[in-house]
Amino acid sequence: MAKEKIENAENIFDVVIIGGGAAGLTAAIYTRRKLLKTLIITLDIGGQNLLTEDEENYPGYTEKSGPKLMQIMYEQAINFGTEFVFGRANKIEKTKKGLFKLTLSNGEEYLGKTIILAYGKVPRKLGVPGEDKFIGRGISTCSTCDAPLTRNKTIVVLGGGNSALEAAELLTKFATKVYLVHRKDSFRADEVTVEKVKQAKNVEMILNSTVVEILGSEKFEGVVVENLNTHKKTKLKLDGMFLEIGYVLDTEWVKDFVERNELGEIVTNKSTETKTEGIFAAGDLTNGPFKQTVTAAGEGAIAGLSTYNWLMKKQGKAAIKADWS
Amino acid sequence: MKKVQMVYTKYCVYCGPTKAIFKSLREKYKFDYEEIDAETPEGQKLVQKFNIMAVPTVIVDDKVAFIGLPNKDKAEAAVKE
Repeated sequence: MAKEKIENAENIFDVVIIGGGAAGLTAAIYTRRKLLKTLIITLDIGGQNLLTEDEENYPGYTEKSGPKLMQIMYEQAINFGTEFVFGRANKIEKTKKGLFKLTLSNGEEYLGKTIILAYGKVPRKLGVPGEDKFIGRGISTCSTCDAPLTRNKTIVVLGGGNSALEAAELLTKFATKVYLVHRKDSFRADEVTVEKVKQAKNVEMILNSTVVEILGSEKFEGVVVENLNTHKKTKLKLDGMFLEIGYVLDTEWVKDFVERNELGEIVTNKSTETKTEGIFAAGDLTNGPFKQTVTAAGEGAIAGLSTYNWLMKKQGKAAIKADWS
Repeated sequence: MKKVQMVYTKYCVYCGPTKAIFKSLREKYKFDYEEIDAETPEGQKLVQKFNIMAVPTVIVDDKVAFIGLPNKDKAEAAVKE
């Protein structure tokens, strides 16, 4: 019968996880250990953990590097047989057969019996023309990843928080010249980090200013910076720009399937269930009280096991109550 | 024979999946393939020569062929003789 045929079809995943950070990768490790056919759709591997070299509080891991921890989780997820698609999911639909159809920004479609939303927060965009065109081609949101490419180059860092100042400090070790553009006249970052950047000889701070235009048609060539007090515009000839203007929640596109709180976070219960049967959520995008790597991983594990239980119940089989029983 | 050079950095997001694409293509086609860390002297030479500002960058026969995660079909077309 059609239902059985679809449920056994090769192109249908038991679980589609959106997000490749601590929550998503951990969820995949757990679903694969239950032999669920698992797909991760993600823009990157590691999410916000790519930004820190100071991961001191993840139990059992003493190397401190966030990106390295994420690489280890990624390899674990692959070794257990997780499939990966790199892209941005931007639409969920429920099919007549009770499956979830996920559409990516490039038009690709994937079917899942369940979904785990675990994509955390996404890098805030600047919102100027040309930004999308040059992301990954002159504009970077990951200084840890791309710093080695800036040797002998002139670059700009945009932002005023810890991530921006840490990026600027890192990039001063590679680039010939680093401009640091910030909207205000003082920084939110820790004073220690600000001082380190100020001490660097190859940094020029441009305060009370923002980038209003990106230059270049085929190739990124620089930016126009506007002083927000005087409105004077200055062209900077550059090899690259690092956007370090924070992360935002992006839950608008799933609003029909989940309940959201006043912050836009997805409301879940202790089993990571959302208001829609078969859709779970874990990590920084939920209304959990703490946003830590270890809590994201914990929620990911719960989501993975809850997904398994939900699928078992649908098939009339026994669910897990406690691992030790 | 085609010469493919894949430039990566340690914490690059799409470098692992890109390596996997070219490794699987090597099982099907014969081409010279090299993975080069951008932080090494050899990598830095390529970074400067091709003004690389994003990884992975894949160079095929001394021309930048892909920046970022390549489409599998296009990668296959690029390594075919």
